[in-house]
Amino acid sequence: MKKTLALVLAILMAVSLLSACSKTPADATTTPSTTEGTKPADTKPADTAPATEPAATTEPAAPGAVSTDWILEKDTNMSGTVNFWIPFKGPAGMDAMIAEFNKTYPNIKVNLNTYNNNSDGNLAVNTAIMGGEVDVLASFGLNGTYKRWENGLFIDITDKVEAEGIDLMEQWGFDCYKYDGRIYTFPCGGLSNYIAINMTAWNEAGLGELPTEWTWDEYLDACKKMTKVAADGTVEVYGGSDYHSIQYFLYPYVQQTGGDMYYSVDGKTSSYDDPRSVKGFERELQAELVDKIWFPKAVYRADNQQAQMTFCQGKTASTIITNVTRFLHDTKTYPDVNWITGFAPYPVEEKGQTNYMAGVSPFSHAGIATNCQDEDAAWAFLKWYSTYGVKYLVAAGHQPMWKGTEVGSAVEIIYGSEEEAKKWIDVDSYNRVVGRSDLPAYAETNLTAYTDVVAAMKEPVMNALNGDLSAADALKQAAEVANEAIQKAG
Amino acid sequence: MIPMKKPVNRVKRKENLAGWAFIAPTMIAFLILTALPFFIALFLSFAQVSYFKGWDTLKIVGFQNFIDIFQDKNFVTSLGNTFVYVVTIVPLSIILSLVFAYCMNGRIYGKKFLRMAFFIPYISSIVAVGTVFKFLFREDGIINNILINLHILSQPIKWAMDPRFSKVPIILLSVWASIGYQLILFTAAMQNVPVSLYEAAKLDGAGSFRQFWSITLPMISPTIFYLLITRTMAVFKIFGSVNVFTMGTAINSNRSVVLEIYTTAFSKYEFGPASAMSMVLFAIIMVVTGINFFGQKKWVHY
Repeated sequence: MKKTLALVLAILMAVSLLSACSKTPADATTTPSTTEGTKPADTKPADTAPATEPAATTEPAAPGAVSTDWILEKDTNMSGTVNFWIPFKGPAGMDAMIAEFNKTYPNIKVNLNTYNNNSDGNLAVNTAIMGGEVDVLASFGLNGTYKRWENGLFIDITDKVEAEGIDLMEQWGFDCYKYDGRIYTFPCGGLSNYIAINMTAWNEAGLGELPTEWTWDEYLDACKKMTKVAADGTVEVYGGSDYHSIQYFLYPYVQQTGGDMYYSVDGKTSSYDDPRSVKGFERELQAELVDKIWFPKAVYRADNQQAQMTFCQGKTASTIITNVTRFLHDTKTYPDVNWITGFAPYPVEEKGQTNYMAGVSPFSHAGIATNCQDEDAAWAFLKWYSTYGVKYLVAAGHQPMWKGTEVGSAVEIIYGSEEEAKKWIDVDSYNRVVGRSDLPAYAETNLTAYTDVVAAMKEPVMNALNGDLSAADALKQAAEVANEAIQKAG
Repeated sequence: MIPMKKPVNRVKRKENLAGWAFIAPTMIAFLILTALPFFIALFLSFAQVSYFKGWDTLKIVGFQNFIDIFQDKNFVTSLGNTFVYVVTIVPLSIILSLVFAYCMNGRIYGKKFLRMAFFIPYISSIVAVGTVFKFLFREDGIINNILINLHILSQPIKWAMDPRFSKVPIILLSVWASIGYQLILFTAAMQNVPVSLYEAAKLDGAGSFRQFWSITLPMISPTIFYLLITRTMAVFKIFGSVNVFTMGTAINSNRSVVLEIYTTAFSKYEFGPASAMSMVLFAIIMVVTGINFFGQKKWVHY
């Protein structure tokens, strides 16, 4: 009896194992893919136009100045379901955005899926796309987005764009984000780089009015004055900090050129050994390792800390950042924020210089995922999100790129009202500095051997941040590897 | 006699069928989850394919993937790092667990508690204990504070970032996490050594060290050999602890081969080179295991 029972169980296990390998109906619906217009992975990089003062010359359109007749479908009572994937959670503006969408499209159900914008999170997204679980994806950063164009993970919307007469330049200020001449996404989300300042520390240091323009020397001098050192020599509060991402050492270069941060102005070599990059990196190392007035980036990287954490915990009195407004009023995570945060523009090398870090630079792209289950509903949602919907990105600290976005609604979206906002931020300096799409901005458009070029700088730069290499040596090493990759890619 | 032959065959066949049925779940799982992926990886190591576009993009490239990976500085560095992990973690963990097992084999206070304390890290998630270790080894963490207060260090070490020290926390974590399991095996092996051997040795005037060296060690040598083989294989495939410690640091001085394979496959989506790396690792493990098996004849006593 025992033997028979064991035998039956064994057979059952074997059958269940085999059945797990069979093809399910869901698999059957997710196999075909529409990747027309994409190049094979081993061909030349994307067909992108060179960036020559991209956003610097594009004035923001007043609301109503851009054409909006294409945005809504004729039948807004259409029904459907859209699985929308974005790194932001519901309370970070996405619930409000979906509620607003449903006022126009009451019968389209939008399921919000939040993913982590890191390599594991993006792998999960790509796997979900292949499984048909994603309809509309907000893809962050050019590196990840480019890989998705290249590998056919977004459907080609060129024909739809042409049929509805959508002018990318008019709507978002860029028409260069194409792959092999085809359009897959709308460049609808952006970033605004600024210095967030703890006003209590600023005032205690007697630094006066917040600047409307300042040089690196002036900013570092302020950092020195805001740095607090204990009697035993340990730093209690760093006066400043770079953003925690490694590539931020290149931003002083970008501030002056306005183009691609990883490439020279002519696009033929990397920007790593450009004197402007080297000078910016030397300054960072001096502030972090020698003067100890900036929170060390090596510690950010080693301990998985981020610039908003050290700022909101009071470990830094100021920081270069893009999204701090999202965290200041998060009293659960950051209960120590008992100061008003002010905003100053990203510093320049010399007064009077054009500051390409002052405006809003494109960062996130939205498109319809391959294997989308309901393309009509996804298209309706994509158009609405990429235009009217992107203003809700400010709740998460990002900026809308759509030219028709109503100016002045940001503070209300983040904090509910201007009165509430005044409890956390200096509203005047916020409005003066953050989300200024009318000011010059940089844009990345060169994708030649992009992944290899980005990877080339990581280790030498980390070694320099660790104090084992000089800035010039690290960037020379990085440039050699990157230039070889660029040459290989032709 | 002849009429008896058929029923015997039938019984035998029935028993054979039952035997196959019993091993079927394991065999199916092995074939689908181990053998098939292995052969696919072997095939892919000579090919290039787009993960997203499927088999239509398959291109056979011969040994090009193998040539490419040995020109890849990151892979070569990770290979060297992995060898360092093997030659440190394997002997350290075996020696320490042997010493602890020997101590706990005698009469000591709180034996059950100690056994449990040693075993808990083994059953804990490596990600969880890795995160705790990462916290301990922060620049402002407990380890640096202790070393500074004991005047061993004057400046804190950047354990996760400094190429000279970045492997140390991973080695300590891996040794600590594996001691519990090995300790249980060593304890069981030591308890199986006949007491009469120790009694005879005592009569001959052998001291504790002599007894350990001449009786305990030879008698538990099959267990040592088993652990040597399995630990070597496991450490060659080290991933979890390395992944926790290298996350975000962007340095190569502590990356392992399996982490490199994972990154190549799932961040760069280059499955051909990733498969080639896994084949190289497989070959190395085979060779090292073969050498161990060849050498065991000289020191393992069955």
